[in-house]
Amino acid sequence: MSNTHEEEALGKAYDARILRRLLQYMRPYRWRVTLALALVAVVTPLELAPPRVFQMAIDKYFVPAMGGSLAENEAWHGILLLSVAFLGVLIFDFLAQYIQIRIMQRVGQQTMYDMRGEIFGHLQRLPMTYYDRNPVGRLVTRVTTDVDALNDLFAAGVVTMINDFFLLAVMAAYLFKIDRKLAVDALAVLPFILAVTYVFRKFVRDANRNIRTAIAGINAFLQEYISGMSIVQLFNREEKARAEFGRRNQNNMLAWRDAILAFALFYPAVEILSIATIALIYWAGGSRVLGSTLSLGVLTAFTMYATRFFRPIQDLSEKFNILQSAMAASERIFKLLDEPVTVQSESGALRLDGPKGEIEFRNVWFSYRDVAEPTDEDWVLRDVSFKVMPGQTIAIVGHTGAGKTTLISYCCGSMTYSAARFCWTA
Amino acid sequence: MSTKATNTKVDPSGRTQATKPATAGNNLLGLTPYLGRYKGAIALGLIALALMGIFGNVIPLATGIITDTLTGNPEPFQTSEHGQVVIGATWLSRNIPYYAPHSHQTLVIYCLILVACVMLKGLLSFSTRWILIGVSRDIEYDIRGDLLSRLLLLEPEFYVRNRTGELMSRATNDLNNVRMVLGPGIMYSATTLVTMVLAISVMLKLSASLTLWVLLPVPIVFFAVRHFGKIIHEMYEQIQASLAALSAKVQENLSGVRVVRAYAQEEAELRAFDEPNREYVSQNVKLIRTWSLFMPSLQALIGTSFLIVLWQGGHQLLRGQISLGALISFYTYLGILVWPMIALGWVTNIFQRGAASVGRLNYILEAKPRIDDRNAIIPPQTTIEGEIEFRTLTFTYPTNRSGLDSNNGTRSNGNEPQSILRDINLRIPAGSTLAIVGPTGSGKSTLAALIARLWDAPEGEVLIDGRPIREWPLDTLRRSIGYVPQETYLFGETVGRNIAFGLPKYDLSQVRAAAEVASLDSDAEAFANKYDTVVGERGITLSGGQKQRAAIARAVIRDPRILILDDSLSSVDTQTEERILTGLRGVMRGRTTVMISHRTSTVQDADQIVVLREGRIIERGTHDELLRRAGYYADLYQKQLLEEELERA
Repeated sequence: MSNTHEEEALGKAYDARILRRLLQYMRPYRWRVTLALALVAVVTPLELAPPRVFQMAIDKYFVPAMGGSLAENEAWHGILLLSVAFLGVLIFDFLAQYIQIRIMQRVGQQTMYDMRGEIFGHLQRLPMTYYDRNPVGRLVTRVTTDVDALNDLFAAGVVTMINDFFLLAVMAAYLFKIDRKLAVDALAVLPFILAVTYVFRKFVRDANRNIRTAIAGINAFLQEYISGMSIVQLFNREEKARAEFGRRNQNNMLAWRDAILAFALFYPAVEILSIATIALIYWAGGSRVLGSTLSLGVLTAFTMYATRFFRPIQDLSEKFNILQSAMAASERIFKLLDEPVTVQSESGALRLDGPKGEIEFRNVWFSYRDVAEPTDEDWVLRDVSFKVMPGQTIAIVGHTGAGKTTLISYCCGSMTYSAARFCWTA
Repeated sequence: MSTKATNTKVDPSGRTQATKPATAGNNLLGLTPYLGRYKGAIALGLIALALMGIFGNVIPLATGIITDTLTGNPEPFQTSEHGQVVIGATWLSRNIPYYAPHSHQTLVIYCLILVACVMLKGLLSFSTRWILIGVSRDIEYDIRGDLLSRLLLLEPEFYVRNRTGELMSRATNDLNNVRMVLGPGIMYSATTLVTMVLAISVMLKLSASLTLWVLLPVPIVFFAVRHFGKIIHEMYEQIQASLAALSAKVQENLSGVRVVRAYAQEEAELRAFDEPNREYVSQNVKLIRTWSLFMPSLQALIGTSFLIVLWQGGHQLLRGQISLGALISFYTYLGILVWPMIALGWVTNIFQRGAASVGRLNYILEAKPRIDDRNAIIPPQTTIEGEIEFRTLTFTYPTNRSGLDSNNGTRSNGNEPQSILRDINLRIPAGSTLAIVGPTGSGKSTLAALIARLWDAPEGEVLIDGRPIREWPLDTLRRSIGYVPQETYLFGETVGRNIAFGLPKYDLSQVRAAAEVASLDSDAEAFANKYDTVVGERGITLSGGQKQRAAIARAVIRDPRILILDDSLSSVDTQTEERILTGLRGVMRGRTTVMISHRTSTVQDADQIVVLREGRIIERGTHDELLRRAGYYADLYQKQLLEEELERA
């Protein structure tokens, strides 16, 4: 439990150095990534198309037909054409999204596969002293949970973020293009959306942290008390256990209350903002429609666009959190990968082609402490020299802590040399 | 044992199938008592939800009316082509005040109505969520508390039959599934129902035929969400399983890193790692295949509804059957129907999963404790003197799984369960000391466990103070016992709290005294925070000997009438053993003590020594008597004497 905070520490969302290094992992798949990114240019217009279709239908066919200036037949023809275009948009949007999601998810998985292999391989070469410093559980997390956090970034994060950004930018530009005045009204809601989303995210993040802590507390208790149930019963501890568990159970409930509050406030806030924007557009634009300075189609299209700001912004804020945890995870991973591998077969190392098995220690000194001038107590092995002939069995006897195991580890190359001369003799 | 438990089948993995999925609906009914406690709040939440639906329903209407006012339609939603009203919702125009075509005032009024409605809706939707989801968390709290209370009542045998991991999964995953039913399940199905009924009834008024057209994709969306949802859920579970396999592989490799290096197995390990790594990726890719299809097709299906508004709505508009306002209302109605459409399929999955989980929770909640106070007739405040008697005791473990007792002695070699204890006749006078020796698996620990009723001996075969053990209230009986189990189990608390585990109230001076008896005092004083040092999960930071001594202190501090020491000095060296025994001797005076040991040096001062072998008493007497008999005990004594001499040499 004590580690959760450290593990959860959120760093910066953006660190150019780390990001550049992360992108290296996508190199082998760069063509596929490029294709997925190119599809952004296709998906965005397609997602913006439906209101535009309705705008055309209203201005070109419905209103003229209702006013009698366009024959019903001709108008119906136009609507049919627009419907076919709409269908086309749906189909292309489906295909483009399918391909995009599929490519990115696959690339994400492949990247994770490579990365996991690399970390695991690196762990196989790290010096034993590294394992003395780092608990196994934490290292397992590097290979599993941390890599998965990156998956969210590779698979969904990067491309959807670009998608969303692009969508927002193009939508804003498009609204300005069709009607500058109304665009200002429609976009007036953006700061509010950003503020609400920001506060919500922050709230939810804090709540989630409390929830995780509370759940961990419940699980740890259950695990411990189920395993030790007979002790609990033998020592008449049931009442106290119930009280303690009740406390943890309540903590969990209270932690959830915060999250429920956040969501209960957020969803209505989003709806109120978007409907208020629509009302604003109707009010401001409607007057102009009545004064015949704005077409009804454009007005309707604006109300349809007004509801489309939220998803990308919500998405982006969610992705921002993903980015944050991915950065933290990659920082931990890179720290592990940058850990120097000290025992390596040096280039001049002899190949042992079926060593006969003669081992000789010549004046071996060894200390576990990695300091320039080990003090007298630091030395575990002092000037050890002996020779074992092939086929011989030797026994090493001594007190606990005398250095027996260190001696053996030496033979296996687990330790780095200090003042060592240690020979395998072929 | 409960009828439920007898009906369940335990497969080799220890997973228990509680009930058949066919009874899913009935299972969910089991939740009604929990819901009943909150019926006021739930009713309030549902009322808020219904009102929310009504206000929400006005919003699309208002957009339509605004559109119609802008087109100069004299009456909203009515079309008067060539002067005749073809179809229309006359009831609406009668009920909508201040409507005038081409009127700025009307526009403003309806814009304000729009804002007012969404505000009210927002307020109600806040209340709905706060109340209904809140109740689901309250019920989760209740159920979780009940789960623990039940678990506290169940006897060790239950925990032999059901592994910790399996019970944990019920208390976490299954509870969560049930919570999903109670919270989002109920809320979203009610929202879907209310929204759909209201929206569809208004839409039908506007145009019945267009409504049917527009709702065409709904069943497809329903089945798509249901189908994909199920597949995705299953795949997700498989992914979790392969992630677990991957973690296990890494864990195994890293824990044994020294061995891997020593045998130069790095390359082989890399290859071995590749398999779970690849497997995990391929499971994920399977999910991707479904997922990448699911999301876009859902979007396309919903888009189709909007396409129908344009196509069929346009057709009806051009033929003068609906107004442009009605068409825009349809568009907006679809907007508020998108979520209910998806929720329909999603919620059925939640209910299905929840029903299965209720069954699995009931397995615990309805489990009947086998060892309880049903025969207790002695008043609870009666004090136990400490006389223990076994009368022709024959005991067989009720479960046929092997290796369940800590002494590993119950391996049955056929279908016939073997008796672990046979025909034991033994009386331990109050205040005396009994020592039990014998080979591994002879039934020593079982005999001790029967005294504390961890297992129930056949009726009338174990007596305390002359009364059948089942007549004593369990609480009274166990309060009189200080038990040091063979396998030490400590909790992840402080040393002091572990020692005071069986005390009603923490008391440092008592803890100190108990630690002194168990010779743990000097160790504890040397810890970083003395008695406030946290011992870690299961006491991992303590040595084996320290753990055992903490367990002795934990038993002694209760000032018990009966002290049971089950091979509790095995992890300490002979010198410490001597010290502890000296300390214990003072405590044992006047108490009934049952002491199990492999060492004759530990037991030689006992008032009575019995030798157990294959569940029978083969020798009994004092140390001197047994030496004279020259049997198993005398043999053991000679061997250990020899060992001691060798050690000294």
